[in-house]
Amino acid sequence: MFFSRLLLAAFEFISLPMLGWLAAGALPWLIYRWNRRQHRTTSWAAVDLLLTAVSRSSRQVKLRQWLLIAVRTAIVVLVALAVAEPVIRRWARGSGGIGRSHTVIVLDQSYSMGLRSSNSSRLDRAKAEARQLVESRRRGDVFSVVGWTKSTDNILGRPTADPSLVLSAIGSLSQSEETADLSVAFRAVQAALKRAENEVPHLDHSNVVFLSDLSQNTWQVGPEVQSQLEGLAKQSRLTVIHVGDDERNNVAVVDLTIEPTLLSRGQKVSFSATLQGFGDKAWEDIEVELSVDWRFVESQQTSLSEGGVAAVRFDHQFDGEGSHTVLVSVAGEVDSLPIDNRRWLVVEVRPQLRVACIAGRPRAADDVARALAPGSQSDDFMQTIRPEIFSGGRLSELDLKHYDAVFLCSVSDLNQHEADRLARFVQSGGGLTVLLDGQVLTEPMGHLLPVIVHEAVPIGEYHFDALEYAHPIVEPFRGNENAGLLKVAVMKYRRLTVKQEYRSAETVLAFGTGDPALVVDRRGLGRVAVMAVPCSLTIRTEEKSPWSSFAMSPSYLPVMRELFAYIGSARWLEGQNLQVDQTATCRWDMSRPETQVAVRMPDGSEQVLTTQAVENQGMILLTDTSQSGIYQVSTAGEQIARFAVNLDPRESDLASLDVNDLPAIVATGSASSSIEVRTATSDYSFAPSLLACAAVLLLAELALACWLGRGWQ
Amino acid sequence: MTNPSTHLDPAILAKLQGLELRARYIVDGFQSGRHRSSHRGQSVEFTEHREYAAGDDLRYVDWKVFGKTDKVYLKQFEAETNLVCYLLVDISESMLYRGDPNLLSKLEYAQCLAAAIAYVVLRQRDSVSLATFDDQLRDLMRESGNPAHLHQLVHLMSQSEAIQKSDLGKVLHEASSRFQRPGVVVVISDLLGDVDSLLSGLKHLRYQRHEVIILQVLDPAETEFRFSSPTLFEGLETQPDVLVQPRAIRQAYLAALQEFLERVEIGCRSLQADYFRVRSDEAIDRVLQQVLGKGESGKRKMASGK
Repeated sequence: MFFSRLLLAAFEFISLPMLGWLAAGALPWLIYRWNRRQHRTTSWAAVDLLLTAVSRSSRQVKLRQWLLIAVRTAIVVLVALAVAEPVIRRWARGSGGIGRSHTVIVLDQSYSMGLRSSNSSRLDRAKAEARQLVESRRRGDVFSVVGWTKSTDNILGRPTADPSLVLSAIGSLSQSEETADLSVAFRAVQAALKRAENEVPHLDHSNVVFLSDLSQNTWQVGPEVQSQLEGLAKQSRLTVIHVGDDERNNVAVVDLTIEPTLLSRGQKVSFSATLQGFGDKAWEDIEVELSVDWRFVESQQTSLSEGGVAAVRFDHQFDGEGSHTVLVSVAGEVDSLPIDNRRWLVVEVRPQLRVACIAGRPRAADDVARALAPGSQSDDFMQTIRPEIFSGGRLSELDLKHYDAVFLCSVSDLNQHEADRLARFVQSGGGLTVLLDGQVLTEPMGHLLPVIVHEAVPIGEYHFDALEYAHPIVEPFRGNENAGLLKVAVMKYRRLTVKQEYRSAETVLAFGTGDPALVVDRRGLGRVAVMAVPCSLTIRTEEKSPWSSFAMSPSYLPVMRELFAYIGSARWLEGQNLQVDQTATCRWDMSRPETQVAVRMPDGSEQVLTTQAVENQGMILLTDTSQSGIYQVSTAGEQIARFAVNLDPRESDLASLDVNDLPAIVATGSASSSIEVRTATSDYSFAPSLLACAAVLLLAELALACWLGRGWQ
Repeated sequence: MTNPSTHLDPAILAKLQGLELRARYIVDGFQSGRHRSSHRGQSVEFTEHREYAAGDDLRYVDWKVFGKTDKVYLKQFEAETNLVCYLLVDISESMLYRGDPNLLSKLEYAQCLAAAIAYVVLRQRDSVSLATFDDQLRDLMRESGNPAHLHQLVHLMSQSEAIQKSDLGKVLHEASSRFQRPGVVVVISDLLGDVDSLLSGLKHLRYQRHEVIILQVLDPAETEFRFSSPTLFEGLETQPDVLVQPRAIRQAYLAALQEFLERVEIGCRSLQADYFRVRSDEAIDRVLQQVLGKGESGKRKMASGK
């Protein structure tokens, strides 16, 4: 069996035994020796003259003969080396081991791999390297191909030894607009290795090859990744092939914000686009364009210092209600990665912003309603807010989908049904603010909040701490201490503790004691805010005095306004403006007869989605947001929703990990010796050069043979 | 054994009509012939006077000159006599070489040459002797002017068998002592041997007042060396075998051959021996026309007596 395999292998093209054909280089010498045995015989009289001639020319004759043999041997050797080039490359890469191997090829598809230089992108080079890996395979070797993005798929599925399938899978990989997650990649690799172990018999060893530009954003190694790396290195030979280049200079639009966040018709708005330069290049006269609803509006010029950041502001006024698309982009080709030179925004212009103010006791919501709609004509935004006061008992009757926010003012007797309705309201994008005083909270209400509400603190003299005005709600107060926020006298407040499971909860305002005064949390598409003091001058009957003078403070109105804008804008600001690979959701009226909607993708293609019921509420879930741009959801000609999907700006930083640092990431143990890092080989193949040399030598041999007076023998 | 009749091809003999072997230098002859003799006598032609010295024969006093001058002078005469041609034919093993099966071997060719020369000599009523040799004189047929001697010569050559390596120098020395009458010695050989020894023997012959004609017979294969494939050259005359790639050494061989031939020729000419290089594929009549014609045109005055 062994010898039959050996015999087959001896004639297998592009395999190790082909190198054995180097032994054929001895043929010319053997033929020479054989020819010397094949001669004619004749008697001769002038032997002395012959001997004289031989002695005079022996050195020259020998030199010529050996030269001819050397040339012929070189021809055979060059051809053998050319044919065996893949084997040699494999040896050079150190993967020329014995036995059958499984190789998992992991191709980085993050959008930084789209950087082009010399007419090819980094992904192109990675795919070329991957093809070379496949082409230098030995018989029986199997491959898996993993497309490495945030989702990271095993393209091939089952490991295969069919090179055409592998090459086809590699060819099918295209540039994504996502980032790449290393820990997700490791999980996919482990799955591929396990599958090969179970499905492919007689595997002797495994290799994992990462083809990446080693961007620092992708190769962020934390404890979990380090542990995964160590584990992987113990079972497989790891190779990281650096297909990046030295290009670090890049310009990207990293942020696009709007002020105010809640818009109504006729309202003036400001767009602020943040441009960032990466690398060591300064950028002059960058033209930034604003387009609204796919129509060019205006452009401005800006400059960026090395690694600098610049903000470009555009003022605009929306005349029409409804959903609008906004695009800020850098004009022209200023860098080699244009995909991050733009940013999208979907803006909802509402005719009116409705707020339901639920009063848990008489007049508990009056001050809040007045703060939200003071009646002044000076502020366009305030003109469009319509607060509506309801008693606590009417909460269950309200159709909350018509409201942007709900304020619960001193509400205590929330039942489960009402709590569930509020929870769904928030999940679908609504904003909920709970203003506390001395009420006893029901359990359902307690579950609704991101904080544990304790008893009130003893009466004393407390003041707000703005926590350096870090949060957008209080940020307008920065530098405006005279607004009086910090001078608000608080005599009593409910002590709050943020629940550990609500990691997204933020403390916007605190007391000087350190206790939270205002906590906000993201819940689904909406937000929940909890205030530890009642925002009202009215008190409960059992109270003797108001808890604070907040409602009388000049800062009261702007805080309420900012609070409302913050919690009320979540539905569209964050629900409709996403990053690539985030799931887009929007509410769906389940009473409608349609069960499917059409989604127009940024590239113009269309998908059909089926509506779903999530917690008894109709939802449309769009999970395929792999492209940046505008997604439009419609049905029966009616537009349901729009989403703007943007790149994760972190990938725009092209700084890469130092190749030599990678093995150091693996701190200890034998794993470090199993990791090989190398740069991508050039596309140069020496086989054509060898064959060209062999052809030249062949001509030289013919000339030599004629010179010596004989041909091939 | 060769057929004697091949040496005397009628066509060749017909072409030899009119050719004569003339001695350039002094020869001794028994008969009255066409060659200058070192002897002076009555029947010879007057050539010059010399002063009388006491004891000279008074029969040769030129009384007419005495009567005119009152001084006694003697007449000097040249006598024409017959020629002895000694044919030395090399029958060593090297002479057996034949490059082309369609050609004569060097020995056969030499025999043809010898027979033709003998014919010419006998026809002009001179005497011819034949000796065969390899490393020594093997057979020696004494000179004779009898036309029937030709057949004996041819027969003798036919019986000769090549066995040994040649040693021409030694043979020429031996011939010098055995050829008593000065004559014309025609050496027919390939001369493949020691050149110095050859010239030494030649010098001895010349010392003995023989005229020497060297006919070096070589095969075309030896002169052109047009071998292509690897060849084992089996040496004749106990020489070693040599396996070579002929094309690789051809230039060197031809250069060595040329050196050898030039050395032989220069040596021969310096000893006033006639040297002719002959290929075994050349027409014998043309060779003899060249050899004997030179003798005719190069005719010189008789040297003084011994």
